[in-house]
Amino acid sequence: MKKSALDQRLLTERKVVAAIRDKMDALAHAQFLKRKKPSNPEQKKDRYNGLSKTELRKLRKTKADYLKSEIDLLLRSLGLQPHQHDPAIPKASADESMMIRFDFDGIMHRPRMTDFSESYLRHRQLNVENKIFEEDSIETPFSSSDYNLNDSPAWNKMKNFANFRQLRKRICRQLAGNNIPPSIISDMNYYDFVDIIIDIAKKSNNRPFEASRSKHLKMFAACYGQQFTEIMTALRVKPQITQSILTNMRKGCCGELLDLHHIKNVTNFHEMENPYEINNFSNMVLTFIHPHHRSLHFGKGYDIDENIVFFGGYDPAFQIRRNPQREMEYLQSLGFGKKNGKSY
Amino acid sequence: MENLIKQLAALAGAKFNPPAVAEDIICYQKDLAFNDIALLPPDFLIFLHHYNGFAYQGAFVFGLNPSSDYFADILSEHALADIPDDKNLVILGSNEYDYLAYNTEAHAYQILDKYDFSVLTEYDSCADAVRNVLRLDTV
Repeated sequence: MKKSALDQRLLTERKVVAAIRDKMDALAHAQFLKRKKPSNPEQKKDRYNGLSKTELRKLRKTKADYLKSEIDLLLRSLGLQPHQHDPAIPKASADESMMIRFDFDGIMHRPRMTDFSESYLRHRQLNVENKIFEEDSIETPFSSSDYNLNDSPAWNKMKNFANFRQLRKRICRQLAGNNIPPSIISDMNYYDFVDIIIDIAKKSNNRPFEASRSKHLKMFAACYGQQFTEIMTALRVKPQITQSILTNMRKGCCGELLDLHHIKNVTNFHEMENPYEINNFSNMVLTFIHPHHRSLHFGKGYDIDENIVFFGGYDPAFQIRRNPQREMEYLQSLGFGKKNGKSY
Repeated sequence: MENLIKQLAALAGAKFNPPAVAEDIICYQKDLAFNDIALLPPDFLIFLHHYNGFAYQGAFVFGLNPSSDYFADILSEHALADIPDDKNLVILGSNEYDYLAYNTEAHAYQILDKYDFSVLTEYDSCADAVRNVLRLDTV
């Protein structure tokens, strides 16, 4: 595309971005009312004083509904469609939601005592009490080969994620080390397994796995770094900022301007043909936080073309479309075969 | 809270807004009450005295009328979040898929699913709840 044509489209893009920001700001300020200090002493009565609470609520709702429909119309005019959830498809349960977050962010949150299964909690407490004795005074009664994790419905969900799957042997060793009887595996829930994974991480003083988010950012920089630089240049972003973003991405971080967005919403992951591909690179799009990412989450969310891997603008001139060949070559360079690459 | 503040200060790539002052906090609490939103819990006020808005890798802790557009304002986010009317709830932060809220009835910080507002987990401590929403380990 000629530079002059691209510049013209950038001008329009900036107007669109400004319009979305303005409408979101207006919505943010219209629905709720902030009382201002009177600038002169005679102006003590603020403009909402004469209205009852019901009238105020009605006023706020009318303003908000109007602005929401304006934003919706604007986003639809840009080709985004509000997500339609099929009520027959269940939403993610709390443990499924947490599982997806753990795999994606790799962040460890120790579960609450009330989250644990009854049998796991009982044995966990026994183990804590046993820890007060010398290590050789109590013999570990179980070995890692005694455990069949497939007996646990929770593990059967977790193992769909490569990050958890690769921990299987270490989990079995840790279960044995914590004196958890193999007979209670079938009762163990997701939070019990998280507790074990945290123990593994603490023991090795290392993260249990590299988060999917971090892997995807590296993959984006490797596969699309050149196109990304070209679009950022077209968007008139300073070259040193673009380079700094790419350097961060190569380290698995996204910085302050951009974030990864799940094309298919995490809460609605059961809508996917293979729900456990929710955190795959194929379900990711990199986008600016303000206002692009926010607009994709506006209301109940907007659907975006799954072939877009970088949503740098509402105009396709500032977007990158996927190149499966390049992604496959990258995965093969990391030693993943075709089969494994699919679940990366 | 002290540990959290130290941890946040050392985070590379984080952005923060200068602290809120007592007068602003008092005025803001009145605005929250005026709009039928729960008041800010005391330990979150301590956070505001250090950072009136914090951002890290696409995750945010909101502030009170923060000076820069980059940081989100609590009341404004309530409007955009479209949360069900609940006088017991105040939204304090967000990331891609969650809100951080304080529930005065449950006396707990809650991590709410952004899509359907279901409670995913709860914390007694403000520090761990903030860590959760900023995607930092709580162990």
